[in-house]
Amino acid sequence: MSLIQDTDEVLVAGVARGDPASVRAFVTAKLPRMTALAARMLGNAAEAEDVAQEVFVRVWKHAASWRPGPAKFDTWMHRVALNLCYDRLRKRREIGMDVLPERVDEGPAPDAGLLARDVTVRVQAALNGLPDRQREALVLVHYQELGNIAAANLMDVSVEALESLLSRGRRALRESLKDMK
Amino acid sequence: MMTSERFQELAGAYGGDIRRWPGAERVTAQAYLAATPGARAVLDAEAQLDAFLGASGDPRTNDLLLERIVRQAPRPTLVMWRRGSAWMSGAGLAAACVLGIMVGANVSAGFLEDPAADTVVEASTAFDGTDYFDDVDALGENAG
Repeated sequence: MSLIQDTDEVLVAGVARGDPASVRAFVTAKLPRMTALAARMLGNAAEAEDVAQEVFVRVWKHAASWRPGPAKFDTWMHRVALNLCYDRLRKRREIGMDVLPERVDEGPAPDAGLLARDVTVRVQAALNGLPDRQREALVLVHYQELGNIAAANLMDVSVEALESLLSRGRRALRESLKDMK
Repeated sequence: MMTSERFQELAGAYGGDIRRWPGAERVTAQAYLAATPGARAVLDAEAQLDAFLGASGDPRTNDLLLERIVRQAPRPTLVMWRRGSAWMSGAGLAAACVLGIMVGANVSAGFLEDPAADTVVEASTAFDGTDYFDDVDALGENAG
């Protein structure tokens, strides 16, 4: 059992008791992670914050009934966050807003090179352009740093299928960003 | 044993940093890298995309959001009942119940007359979050 999992279990038990120090420590530890996940899946910072807040509403509701076992609470939170993200992506498609927001001009970069912010914007735009499942695989493995087995379980696919999604996602990103040096 | 094909698959999926590869294959991958002249180029080909992905930092945490979420957390449960306590005697409990019913009746009457109340009730019942947790249970995420 990892140190992170141990820490989570201690904090979740404290949250279940309503211990204010545990609550604050838990939110401080998990909010950046949940916000980052949702921001990269949705390509929209405001919606990502809404999703993160919604995840914690569910945590407050279910922490007391959580039974520590082989599954990690962190993985469970990822599942909840992803479902909320897919809910929003589905609603966008239903209203005909198929393209993710905050898309930016993907034209060639200025000769002077790219600033860090430009790179961030370009990378997010390229991520936004990926099929949802490829984006999900890349976000879980590269950014959220989940292990391949945990990520595959979370996505309900085999490790081989996960690796295929990752490879195709990286190839597409490389193509989108090929003008950047 | 690491093959050339598997080495390329891993680099294509997880990038050019072997430390990010699945733990079960890292040692053999390192050995393959040390023994195979062309292997470094396979990793280098992924390095630029890794750098771009790495340059995209995490969004800054919104402190106001953090405080709002903390405020929404459940409060500690107060243990009010103590054996032999006079303030929660049977008579006191009965009086509290009567008072509660009277206050509750007045409050509900006022609430139900308010047209906005219907909107609040509809909004609270329209959302059913159980779907998310059904999915989680199906994956065995909350199994004991």
